[in-house]
Amino acid sequence: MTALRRAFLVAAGAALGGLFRVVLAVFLPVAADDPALVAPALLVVNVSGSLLAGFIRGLALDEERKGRDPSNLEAAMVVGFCGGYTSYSAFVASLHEGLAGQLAWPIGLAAATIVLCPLAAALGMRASGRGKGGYPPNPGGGAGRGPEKEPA
Amino acid sequence: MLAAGDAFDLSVLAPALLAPIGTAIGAVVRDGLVRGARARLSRADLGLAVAQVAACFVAGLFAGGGAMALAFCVAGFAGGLSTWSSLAVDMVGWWRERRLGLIAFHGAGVLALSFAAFVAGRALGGGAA
Repeated sequence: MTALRRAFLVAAGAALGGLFRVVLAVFLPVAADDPALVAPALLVVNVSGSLLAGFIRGLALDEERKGRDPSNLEAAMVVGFCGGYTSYSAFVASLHEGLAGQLAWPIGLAAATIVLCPLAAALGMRASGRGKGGYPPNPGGGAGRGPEKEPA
Repeated sequence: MLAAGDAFDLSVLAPALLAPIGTAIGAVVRDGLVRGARARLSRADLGLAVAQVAACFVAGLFAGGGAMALAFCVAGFAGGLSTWSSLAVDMVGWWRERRLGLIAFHGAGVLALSFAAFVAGRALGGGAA
């Protein structure tokens, strides 16, 4: 895949994911006239995005195993859509807002996000049939290279 | 419903258009950072960490801005530059490979750095830290 094609797939997926995130975590709390909904909405967005990313990563690994190239699927959906749909910066901003306002929920929100997102990703992989076979070993062996060919 | 001659308030629609454009640009930059770090340092996770921290700095910098800046820079670019889903998927892999140091680094270290970057951005951008 050319760099330009990959950039297009990532950008298109991310634009759609970003739109979904803004609607769910910004517009809906505003429409409900309840800013307190932003943090839980963001938690739902990040957890559901992690679940979907895990599921698609599992499908991509399966495609790879069958000798097919999953890089288009991964670029558009994992790196693009799920990457644009979920947001780490919004999570940190929400955490900062809560701590600055001396509210009780920020620590709970942080803990829930840190625990639930990886659990959701693992669940997604299991749902796509990758859970029982175990995660494929890191082919390069270097720390942090990621377990697959295309870590996002 | 709009009638002929009514002026349509673009300020309502603009953030909904700007945020996805900013997200797309941020995601392409993130992908470049991750792939670059993997190619040059054999550490894709460092590229992701840089993207997360930089996104939080940008989010803090423009957090006190107007609606357009909030939509394009904060919800859009910073939102697309950072991600939870890729980190979550990588964390599953690190857990299965028993790389607990990497989980601690990203779960606590990068979070602390990102929080500090957000506060620094807010201070530089004129917002209350």
